[in-house]
Amino acid sequence: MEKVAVLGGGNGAFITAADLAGKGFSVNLFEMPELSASVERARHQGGIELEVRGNLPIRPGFWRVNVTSDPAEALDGVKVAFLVVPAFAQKRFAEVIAPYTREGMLIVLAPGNFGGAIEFAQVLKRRGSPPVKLAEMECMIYSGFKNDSGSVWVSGYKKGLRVAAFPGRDTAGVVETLHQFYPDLRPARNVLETGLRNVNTVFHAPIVVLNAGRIEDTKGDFLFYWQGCTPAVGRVVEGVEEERLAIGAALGLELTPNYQVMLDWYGHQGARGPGLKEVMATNPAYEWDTAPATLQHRFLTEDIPYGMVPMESLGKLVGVKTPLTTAIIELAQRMLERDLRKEARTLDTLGLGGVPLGDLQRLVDECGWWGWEGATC
Amino acid sequence: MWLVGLGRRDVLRLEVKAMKRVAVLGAGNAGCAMAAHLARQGLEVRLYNRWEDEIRVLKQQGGIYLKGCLGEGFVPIPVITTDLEEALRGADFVAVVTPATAHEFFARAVAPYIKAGTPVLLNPGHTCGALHFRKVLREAGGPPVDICETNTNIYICRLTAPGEVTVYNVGGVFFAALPGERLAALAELVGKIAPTIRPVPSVLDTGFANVNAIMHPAAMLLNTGWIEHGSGFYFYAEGATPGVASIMAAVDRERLEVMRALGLRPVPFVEVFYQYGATSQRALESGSMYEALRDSEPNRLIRAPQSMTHRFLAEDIPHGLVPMESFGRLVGVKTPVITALIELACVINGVDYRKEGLTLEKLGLGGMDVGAIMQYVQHGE
Repeated sequence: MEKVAVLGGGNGAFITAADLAGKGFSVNLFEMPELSASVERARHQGGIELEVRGNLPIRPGFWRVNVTSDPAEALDGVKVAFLVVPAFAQKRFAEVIAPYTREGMLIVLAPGNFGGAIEFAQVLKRRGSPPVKLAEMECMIYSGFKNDSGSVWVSGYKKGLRVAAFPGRDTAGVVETLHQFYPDLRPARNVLETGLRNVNTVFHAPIVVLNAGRIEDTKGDFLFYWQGCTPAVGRVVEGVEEERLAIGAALGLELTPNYQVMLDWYGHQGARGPGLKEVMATNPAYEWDTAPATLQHRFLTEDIPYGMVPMESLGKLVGVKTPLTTAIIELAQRMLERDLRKEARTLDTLGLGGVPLGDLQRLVDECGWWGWEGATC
Repeated sequence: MWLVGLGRRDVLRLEVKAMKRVAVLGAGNAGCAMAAHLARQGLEVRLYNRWEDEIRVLKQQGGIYLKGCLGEGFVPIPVITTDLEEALRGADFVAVVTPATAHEFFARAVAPYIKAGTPVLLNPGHTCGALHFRKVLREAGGPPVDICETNTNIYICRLTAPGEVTVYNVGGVFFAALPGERLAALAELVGKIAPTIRPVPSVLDTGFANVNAIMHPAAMLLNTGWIEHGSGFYFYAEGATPGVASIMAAVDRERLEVMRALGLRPVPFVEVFYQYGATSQRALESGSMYEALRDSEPNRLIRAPQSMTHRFLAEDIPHGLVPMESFGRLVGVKTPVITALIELACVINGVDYRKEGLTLEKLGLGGMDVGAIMQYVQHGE
């Protein structure tokens, strides 16, 4: 049985670990020691109970998982590791696992969010890791939530999700390796593309901001997409989507319109509709998705600094105006009383501000971080 | 505390004739309240409305049933009409009591009938209504008149039944004249019929004190989903949560910053709101936007609008936030939150509110520097 590691202990990590165990892999689940309460029951019972809501290509049941807070144990004998954590935690995980990485090991950020793989590579290299293979998914492949520290339910599975290696020339090989876990994964050109493909960037923050009063007053007592994505909210989502597509086009990336993405991912679950906002507001995969109970939620605190702010700064780089993206950032950061631009991961914070576009593309397409020498490789 | 003293020079210039016959243009909530209030004070009121439907009951009964704090009972109104010429005939005072989106229509429509020198009151002027009205009236060939305005409606009121208006409160509102040098004379005149007005130096002071523009767009846009999902929540009591109030507070800060840069006296929202009688002493002392709205008795039972095309956006963006943003640009003050609200409203309603709204160009102030604008506002040239 091939050994894999799942790094993280939240909703996504639980589903990933249980699903892969259910598919016959030997799974180590690693969570930071200080967060061990979040995996307590799974550790105690030696596995995770997985409930499947809807007709998904996922097997429900109790699946054996080796839960550990020792990174050495987690990565021992592992060729592929999935990092399933919020974007702000990726850096910390890189620091903790750096000593235990081995040359050629594949680490998949699931998902990457903007710049995830680049930042991960930077930390590993700085910590003396040998060159590892890095890849990132465009989005979380599942949707679902934990019931407690030993069980989780899943209600959505995205078919045909995109993945890119860093550098992009490794993508074909990585996709082939990953097909044993997810047979329908598809390649993206590079990690700039996966970063810009993340639908959460376009969906989450606008819907939260335009439902802010209801979220705070009712503590999120409504269905986030089904009831929160009304026609007017949908028009803003579509406007942000237009900005995203314009930036992608200016960067020479072939982004898929999110309307098509919804049909690709969730068509098998019955997603239909004449346009983006309609398909979002009726997508069966969203039937269980309630709104956040508070504005202090990763839909703002993650999807703005690791999605919208990078999009805004890429827009500036390529001369595409992003008034709606900017509007959502401005309102969100004032409601949260946080400087989300300062918290963001952008080309600047990755040390790549001012790098000419051509060099940047060489970095993500050809060089990777271990091969990068400032402008070429 | 921002009352402007009547200087000797102003007193000498008092020349406005006491009013006898008043045209009230607009027979909505506040138009009916004002018509009834003025008629009660013995003035001959001629009430005009653009649409017959809205005044059919008033015409049938020959007046308005008044309820609330200004007294109870039937108030006869001698002329109720859809004929503007008839409404303005012999009027020595004109009150325009309409949404700001109708100012342009009225300024054009009254041009042929209004007599030179007739004072015109915009109740309210919203933001820069007087400047706009004056420009359109002139372009339409109207005579020179004095225009004055309030920052928000003198009457907190609603039409509570066909032909019946209930006045809940008569608020302390800011009052300014265009040109500003006519303030003392006009304040004395209008003060006789509406004693709660508080004169401020210029129509920029009233314009920037447009409380609706501070409250409404944020409360609408940050509750877009809730408004459309249609549960009819209480707009302020439920919809003005801490997060929503924090955006209103940010709008307030940006607006005050623009005022400072223009050399105007910045009066915070909570203070304006308190003077209006819309919130408590406790809230005033807290200085908190959230507390001010939570403690607002007149707003407590207001339900959210049913649609995003409501005047809370359709009026308060183009005749509130758009001119504030435009002044901000002139003086180099950034207004990112105001800009954000405008952008979202444009996309949500599919309307270019900057094109529709009152930019400096639309107000006849395009190309002027701050000094020239102040000169114009004060002296009319």
